[in-house]
Amino acid sequence: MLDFGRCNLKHLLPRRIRFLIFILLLLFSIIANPLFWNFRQEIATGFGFDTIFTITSEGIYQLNTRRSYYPNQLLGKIFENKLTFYLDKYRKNFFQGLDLNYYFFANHPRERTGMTEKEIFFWFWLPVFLVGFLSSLRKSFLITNLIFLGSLSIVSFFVKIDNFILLLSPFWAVNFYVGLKQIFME
Amino acid sequence: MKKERFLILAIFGLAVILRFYKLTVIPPGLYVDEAAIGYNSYSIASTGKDEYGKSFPVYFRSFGDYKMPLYIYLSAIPIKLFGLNVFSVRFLSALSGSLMIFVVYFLVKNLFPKEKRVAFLSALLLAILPWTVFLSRMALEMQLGLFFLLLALLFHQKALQGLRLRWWLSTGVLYALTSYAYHTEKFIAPLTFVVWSLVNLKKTEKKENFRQWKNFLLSAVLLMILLGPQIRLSFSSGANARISSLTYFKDRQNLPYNHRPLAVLRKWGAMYTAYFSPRNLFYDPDPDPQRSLPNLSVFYSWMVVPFLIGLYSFLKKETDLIGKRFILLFLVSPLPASLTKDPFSTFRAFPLVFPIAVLISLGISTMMSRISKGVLIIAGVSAFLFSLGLLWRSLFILLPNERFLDWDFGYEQLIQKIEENNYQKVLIDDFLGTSYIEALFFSKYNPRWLLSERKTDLTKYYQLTDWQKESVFGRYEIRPIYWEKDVYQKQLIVASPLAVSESQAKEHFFTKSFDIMGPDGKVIINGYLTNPELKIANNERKKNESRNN
Repeated sequence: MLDFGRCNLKHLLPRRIRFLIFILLLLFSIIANPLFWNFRQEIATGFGFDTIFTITSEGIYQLNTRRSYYPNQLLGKIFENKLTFYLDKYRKNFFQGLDLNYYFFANHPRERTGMTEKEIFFWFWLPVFLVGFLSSLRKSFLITNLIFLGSLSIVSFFVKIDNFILLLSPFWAVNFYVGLKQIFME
Repeated sequence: MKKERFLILAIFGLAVILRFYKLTVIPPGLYVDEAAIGYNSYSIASTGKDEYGKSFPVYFRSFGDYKMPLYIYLSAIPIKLFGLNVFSVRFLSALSGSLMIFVVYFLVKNLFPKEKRVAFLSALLLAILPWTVFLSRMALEMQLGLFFLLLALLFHQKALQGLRLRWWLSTGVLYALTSYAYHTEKFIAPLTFVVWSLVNLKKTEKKENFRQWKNFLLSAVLLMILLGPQIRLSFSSGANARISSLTYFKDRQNLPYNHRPLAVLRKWGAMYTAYFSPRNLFYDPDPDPQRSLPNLSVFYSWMVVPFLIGLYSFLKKETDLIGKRFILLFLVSPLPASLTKDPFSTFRAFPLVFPIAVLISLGISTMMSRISKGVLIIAGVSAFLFSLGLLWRSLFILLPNERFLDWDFGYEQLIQKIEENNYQKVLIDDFLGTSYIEALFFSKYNPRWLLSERKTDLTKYYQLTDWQKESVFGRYEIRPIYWEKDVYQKQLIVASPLAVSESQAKEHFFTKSFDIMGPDGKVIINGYLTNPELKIANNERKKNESRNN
């Protein structure tokens, strides 16, 4: 009878090779799946949401105008190009996601023009959040903060990050919990 | 030791280059407040009086904003040495910004004796940060205020660590000087002195304790005596009117609740939190275009990572207690700015640059201890060059091309043209009435002549929060154009293309005398000579025609 308990490559191949084979099989199974090719298109178009990889005629005008300021054409192209333009939009979204005023004060005092701002959390809970956040840095909840940053990094590729705020809720939940526990229970 | 000295001198050299290179043309032009500081300083150096004739005032009335005196008095030295020009008036700011490197190094070394790298990193960061470089290049009071605040804090640390009275007395004098440097420091300096002393004095030996408390009290008395003139004038209507115009406590509109105290509390919470927001610190610059660099906030965006790591390290590490108490500076610095209406005032919150730079340095130091030397050198050099590249782009390329109008560019060339061509009578169109100071500055108008021409009631010197919207001195008249009479006087009319269009110039028989162009090649100021004889003749002709008809 075959001994299925010994049916593994552990004794045949070193750990690194086994890991490499696993990754290759995983990639193959993704690429070989026809659904993946549809998914790729979805990613490129941002799942139907606007992404930062668009540039209007105003944006192009601004780039060309700024390129003319430089003493050297090459320097102009290095500092003012589509990549720097997209990067600036990305940064705008990323830092918007890090702004406490966005969550607690409806973006006051720097409301965005043309947008209806909403208070996501009641401002009175800000001290609770801060106690929770600073306590979590000292304890073992650091991983939650890192996951938040990772999620925000992905969400920042989309123009309206307001649509994705719910994805960041575990971070808020953990820090509010730690804050409440610190203040009222410990 | 030699290596440390070489490093700190190299950082100082870098700071000097970033602050003094093209100081006269970056920022472009000379802002009205800079011109006001420069001219008042020139007046003090020449006559001992300000532009209104007040002898050695405690606050300088200027545009009714009552500028703090220290920068103006100290600027008399470079103005005497180099003459009245853009370089001499900005010199003090650039110098104090450069010398601040040494103060920061010794202060951080004192606060964090176990973290030697943090002192060097803090000095390096403060040498290259957009916030410090930009403010060091303006003839405004903030940089000098921060320099004296940090120097006072350094002396304060020395005083707390020893028992010598002279350190305490020097501390009192330095905090007093700081209070006279800028409006923000007027509140922060005494507060820092008291809070820092109380927090650090408590736990010492009984005998030492008594001596330290005695020294502290003597220093406090000296500080109160030196602040006497300031305290006396704090109750004047001028000072109160200024504060009222800046704060939001009496605003009646746009409050989310009917309950005023709750609404004001929420407003203050939002304003205070804004000064710690990574968005404002690392991405979105001050919304006022005159107070910020294009596309660059007060810190570089990549610094958000070491900032968060620094915050984490600060909370986790077994830092010396004095080092831990440094967080008080972090919390106190934006307090005065958070009471004003401006969303993120880089001028008023300038003291915040120090504690944040130290936290970022702590973060970088933590990262350095975890990565290999090769990666460290590559990452460090890349970050350094990348930051300098961004600073160069914003400061030397974008600022002079996009924000020259916010810096009142053009007046130097204008006054030069007027003085060269020796026009007899000049009318400069100005609705606000502030450009008179630019004319005074660039024409180096003799303060004695100005004082004899301008008679001001000095009994209400500290009560007035406005300025004369119309000024007349020498050949200059600064006011709005009165079309019904000005076209009939033989004079040079200076105005922007918006104020006097080409069709208006044609209609009133003006002759174009000169144009002042901006860096973008467009005309920003026109100079027209009037033709009263032609205008009168034309009016007569029209009258005759209408009579005949």
